[in-house]
Amino acid sequence: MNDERDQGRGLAGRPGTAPALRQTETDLLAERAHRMLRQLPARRAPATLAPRVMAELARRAKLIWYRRPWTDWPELMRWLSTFLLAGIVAGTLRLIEGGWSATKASPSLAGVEDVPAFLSAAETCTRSLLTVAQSLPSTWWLVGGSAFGIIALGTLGLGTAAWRLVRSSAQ
Amino acid sequence: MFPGMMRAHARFRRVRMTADPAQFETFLQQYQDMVYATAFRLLGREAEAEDVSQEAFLRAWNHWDELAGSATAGGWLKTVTRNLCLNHLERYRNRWRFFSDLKSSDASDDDEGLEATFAAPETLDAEVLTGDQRQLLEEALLKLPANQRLALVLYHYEDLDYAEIASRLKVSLGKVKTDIHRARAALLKKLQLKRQELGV
Repeated sequence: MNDERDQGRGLAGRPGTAPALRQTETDLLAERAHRMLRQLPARRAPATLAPRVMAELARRAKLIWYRRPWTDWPELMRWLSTFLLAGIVAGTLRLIEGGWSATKASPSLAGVEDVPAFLSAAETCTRSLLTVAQSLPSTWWLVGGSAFGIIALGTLGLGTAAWRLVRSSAQ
Repeated sequence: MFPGMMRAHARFRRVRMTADPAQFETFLQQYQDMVYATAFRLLGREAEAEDVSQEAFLRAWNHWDELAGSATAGGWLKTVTRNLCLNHLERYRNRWRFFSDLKSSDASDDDEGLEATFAAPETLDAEVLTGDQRQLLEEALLKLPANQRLALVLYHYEDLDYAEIASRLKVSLGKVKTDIHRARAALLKKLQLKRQELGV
């Protein structure tokens, strides 16, 4: 065992230490444990491991190109997909920018023909929900929030307990 | 970024053109015991160790152009296996850290007074384990709390030092030392008790 890994822990490794100094019990424990653990035979791999790996490689080799990871696609397809994705992202950003500019320019949604319909509907829904939320008493928020928190924690706890039970019985 | 992408692309093309499944299978047969033993020591479960071992070899296949014929292939594979195991345990631990910590704090109470009852060092010399003792030790190793077993295996089998273990496990240096010390003491105590039972 390499005592130099435990710098600063025991006296044995320090430069200038008198040879007569005894090792601490901790160092002896470490050495003894190391000798014993090194006597344990290494586990052999199961006979199923190699066939599993080769079967998985064969399965991946047979996959059609678009079912493989993107890095395994043919070069032409990777370039095309990159350009296509860039185009979609740019188009979406342009659409959002156009819709945002239109809603900012109009103070009211009624009769404004150039505002996209979905933005108009989304804004109406949001305003309605905010109106309802503001009208609710604060007590309702407190009780509802507490109930939701208790249910969430309870579900998490039950799930954890069930999972640990399954794992412990499987061991 | 572009030079890196170009190198990765060139590497990918070389793998497709030169990879020999038969050669890779020989490589697999040569290292499978080492990989599986590493994974099993760290994970403590056969099924998970086999899954991680498979993943390690699949990654080796992706890097086959670098590994084929390389003298460092074994070290690379061992490092990948270790990292996969630690990542696997990290995902497992992050999900249930709160409840696991509650349980591990209870488990650590069992080790109180362990050092007081441990035999004097002079009585445990010349320890060549018999077959039964090896089996007992291996069973005891698997039954250790996961945090203790992991730290112990990383220290004694993976040759990491305390600071490296603390960094990889994202715990304090003190906790690593405590876990390793308790694990050693627990294992040796089990052996000592067994010897006392047998009257050795």
